[in-house]
Amino acid sequence: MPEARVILKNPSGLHARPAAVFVQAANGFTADIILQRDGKEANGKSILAVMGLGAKCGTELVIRAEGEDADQALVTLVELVQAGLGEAS
Amino acid sequence: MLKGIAAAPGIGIGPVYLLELKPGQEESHNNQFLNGSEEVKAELARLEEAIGRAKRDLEELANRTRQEIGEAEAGIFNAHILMLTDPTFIASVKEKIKVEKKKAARAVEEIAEAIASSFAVLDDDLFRERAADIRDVAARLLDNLAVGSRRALELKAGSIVVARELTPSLTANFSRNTVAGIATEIGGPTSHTAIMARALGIPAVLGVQGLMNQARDGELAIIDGSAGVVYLNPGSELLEEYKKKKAVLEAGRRDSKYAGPARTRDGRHIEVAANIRNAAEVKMALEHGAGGVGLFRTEFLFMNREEPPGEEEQLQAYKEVVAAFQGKPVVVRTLDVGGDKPLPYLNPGHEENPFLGLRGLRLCLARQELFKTQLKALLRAASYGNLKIMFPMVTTLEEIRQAKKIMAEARMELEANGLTVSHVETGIMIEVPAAALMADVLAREVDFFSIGTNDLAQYTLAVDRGNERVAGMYDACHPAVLRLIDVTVKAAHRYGKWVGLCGELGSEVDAAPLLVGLGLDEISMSPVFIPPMKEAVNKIAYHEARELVRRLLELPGPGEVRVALSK
Repeated sequence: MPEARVILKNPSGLHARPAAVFVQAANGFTADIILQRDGKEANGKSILAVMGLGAKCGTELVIRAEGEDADQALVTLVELVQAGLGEAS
Repeated sequence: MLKGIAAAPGIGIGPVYLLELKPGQEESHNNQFLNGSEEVKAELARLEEAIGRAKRDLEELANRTRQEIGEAEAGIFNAHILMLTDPTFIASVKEKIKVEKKKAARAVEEIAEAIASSFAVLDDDLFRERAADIRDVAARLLDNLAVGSRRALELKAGSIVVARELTPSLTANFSRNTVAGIATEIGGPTSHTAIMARALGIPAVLGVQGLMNQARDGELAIIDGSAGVVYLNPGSELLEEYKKKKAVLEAGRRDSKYAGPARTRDGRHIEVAANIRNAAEVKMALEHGAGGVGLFRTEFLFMNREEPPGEEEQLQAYKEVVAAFQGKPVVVRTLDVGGDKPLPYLNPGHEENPFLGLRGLRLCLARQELFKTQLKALLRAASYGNLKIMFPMVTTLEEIRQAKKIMAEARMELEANGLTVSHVETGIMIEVPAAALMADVLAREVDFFSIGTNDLAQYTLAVDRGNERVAGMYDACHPAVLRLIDVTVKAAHRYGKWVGLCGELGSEVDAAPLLVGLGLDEISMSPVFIPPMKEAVNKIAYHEARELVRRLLELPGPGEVRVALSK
């Protein structure tokens, strides 16, 4: 299962709005997306699970993807997190 | 008087509208169980339909919020849509219906409550407050499950809405015309209700304990959203005082041709603010569409006179500016003078090298009475709007701590005299290279930074730009200066603090991609440059600007930076 690591830059962490941006993008892929933080796992297509990680600014996130478009999903999602998920970073 | 959290600035006066929310409660308290697979099937279908209706409501609300309030606020409802249609949430609710044979409403309530409680234990306010969003989404779904529709609010124009807790959806439906103020028992400054109230310009005080017990429907109330206090059934004297305060605030409200915020093509909001020196420049700043004041230079109040202005005189001067901006941020820089800008009554004595001498905050810490008088005037003026205090020429952590100590004393002395002082954001200017390099340490001590590029460039390049023999070496676009700005912005953001820039570099419209790409949250400049700067920012894509800055930081000198920017 391909995976990528990325540091969360959002000053207030992965709260509702940035989480929504992430989940919306994840929903655009058929691959299953798993988001991991300090060993905690979340379904990347569930905003409640993603927010439930309680990831703060500076946290390392591991994104894993499995399915047909997994590689593309990883590239897109990593870029999105690096760009601040639609927020000031 | 009841104290709460100052969540949205401004003053509201009007009759209390007691709002008691019981969304779909009867429905969810129905303890009946489903009988047989047919009823389960029907209940699942009812759930799907209700989710569909709730989703359409939210989409409409998101659209309306985008048009009437803003993109960032609309994002709250996009998040709500995703919560409503969350696969984990829906699967758990269906499970309860199928296995435990519970009615949909009860299943929704139980699951939502379980999720909300799991958020409530996270060690961060921002996440904890998301529990309120989940309850809001659940309430909407419950309303759609209930027979009959959601109870419409019958608000009289100019009401003060008093509730235990408000949901973002309800708040988004308020307007400044119908709601004069908001007070709730539950909620903090980062709750979505607070964000929405600020965006709508409705004064709000949240987290007021004992509010629901004491407020009576229809009774007069005053909301002071800047001080974070609520007065129920105020006396006539207090009422008159607040009416006057409110009139002062409203006199400053003006329309502007360039009123909109600056936003990059990919949606990053940049506050474009004005540098001003006195109340007379306020009009110009507002006419040019300033989103606030990024630098209010107070030294002009102290110049051309025999003795320093007293607390009352200063209060009048600050109040006028702060009130005129109607809750928009006004960053006031404390007295910034020294050997290079001497004041007769301060007489710092002759200095060989005034730029490296007793100036800015250093001088204020040496003249504490003078400093404290200014801080008192500023703390008092803060209740007229959104005032922030900024210390100039900071070099060390110790200086910040000393300044904050004097500010705490000023606050205590005011409070001892019976005055209510609101929380005031405190920041520092980054203009000394030592402060930029230590920004990660200093960021923990303050609420924001503002980068003064003129002095930062002079100190970094060791060039007096007033000395024509070396002035040619001065350029704020030198990569050495840009790297210090980069370090500062990154350090601040790591600690969730915002960063502005108020030097002359901020007036350079050609440098807009540089300013945006450095990640600045605010750019402050002479008012005349605001419209062209906004226009320039609107054309930039933030992710491209970031890429550009990454390359600029590697260039050998300012000439190369200028060439790259002109392309």
